[in-house]
Amino acid sequence: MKVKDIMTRDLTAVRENQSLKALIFLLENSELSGVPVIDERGTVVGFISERDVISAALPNYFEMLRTASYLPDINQLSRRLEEIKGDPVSDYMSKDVITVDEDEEDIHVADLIIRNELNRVPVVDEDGMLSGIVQRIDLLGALL
Amino acid sequence: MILTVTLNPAYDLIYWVKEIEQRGETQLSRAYRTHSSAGGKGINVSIYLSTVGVENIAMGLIGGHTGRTIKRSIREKGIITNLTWISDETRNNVAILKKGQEDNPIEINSSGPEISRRALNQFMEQYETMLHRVDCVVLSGSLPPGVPRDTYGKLVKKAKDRGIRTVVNTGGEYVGPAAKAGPFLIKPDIRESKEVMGETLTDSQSIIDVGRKIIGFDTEYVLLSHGLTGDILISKDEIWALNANREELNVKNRVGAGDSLVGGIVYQLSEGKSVPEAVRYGLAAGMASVEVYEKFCRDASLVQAQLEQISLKEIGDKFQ
Repeated sequence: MKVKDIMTRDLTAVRENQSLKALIFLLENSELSGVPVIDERGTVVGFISERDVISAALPNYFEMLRTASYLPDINQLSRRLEEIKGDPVSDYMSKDVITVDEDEEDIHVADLIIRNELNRVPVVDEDGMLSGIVQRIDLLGALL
Repeated sequence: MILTVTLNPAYDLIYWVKEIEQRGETQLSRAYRTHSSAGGKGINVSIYLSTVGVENIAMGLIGGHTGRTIKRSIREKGIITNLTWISDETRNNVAILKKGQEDNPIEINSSGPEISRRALNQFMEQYETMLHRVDCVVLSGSLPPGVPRDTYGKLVKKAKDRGIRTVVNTGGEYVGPAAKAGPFLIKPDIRESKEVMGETLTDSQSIIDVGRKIIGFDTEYVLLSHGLTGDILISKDEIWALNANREELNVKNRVGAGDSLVGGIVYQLSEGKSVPEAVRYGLAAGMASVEVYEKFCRDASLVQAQLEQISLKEIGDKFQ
């Protein structure tokens, strides 16, 4: 099966210059954990998730989680979010974003998702413009 | 690729009842049939296009549980989504069709949630990005509170500046600003008011007069409907009359008929048909849709049967 047979044709994304506050509003309402970042033409230039936002607010949090039982002070998180909410998405996005094109085989995208521990992979057309997304659940649904 | 814009979407609820009348006391009417679907005029056009296999993108402002339901519903139909989230809940619209009077439904539309400047700016940014990948834009329906009445005009201009065709289907106070921006085709919606750009439509001549007025603003085609089975198409140089046989129409549901008409036109234009022929097909699609309970007729043979009954006649009266 090809990527185009299983992808979700949704173009939800943020622009590089949008604020983290706008991103959080989008993620909360669309019930997504992360979205592609695009330029003014719709070309995918990055990916940003709620995990990136938490890392931005508490840079060492995920590192600490690996080594010890640690819960940050919720007020500390709140204060930091308040400080960085106006920062552009481009400051915190992953720039080396993994993408696939519509004609690739599902096994290829499954391999990418598993090896890189991804939830969602943007699908792009021949010009690098966002054309949809493949989610882990899309793959599981296709396998049933 | 075709882009549809629905700034005031709705989740449509349609009820068919045997009886409904106000008797001065609480009355419960049981629906003997119901239908619900994502709606708003632009989304309806998107759904129509997906039923005939035309790939398209739906844009609009959605919010809350109803917004998520609409998004899921249109995505399941294979429509590409690029929606803008708002803080408030998307509206519901209700249509009630009384048995034997399906031709005259009671339609109750809420005005929609208040749209913030932030949400509108966000939509505009997304819209400009989408203009890089489409060759036709359909702007359809009312504008919700908070959205300036000249917004369709701005959207038409942005598309036109990129050489993209625009088709506008809206009513009342939104027609003037959209028409003045010079869309490719405009179809004023006269369900709520027969007044278009300050003129009241009473007969064919008044329709032609209003059409001429709109053409004067650099719009290429104006389409005005008179009743369910007749349209007048006006361009700078020509006027066409389209008529169908109403007596043979078995009306089951008029909701969405106008959107089938617009969808049919856009579909045929994408296939390279002339505007008059595309409008003739659109009228057939609209008429076929009223003969089924769902919003859209998926049976191409029914559309074809209607098409064969519709006359398309150039009625002269050229004007400059």
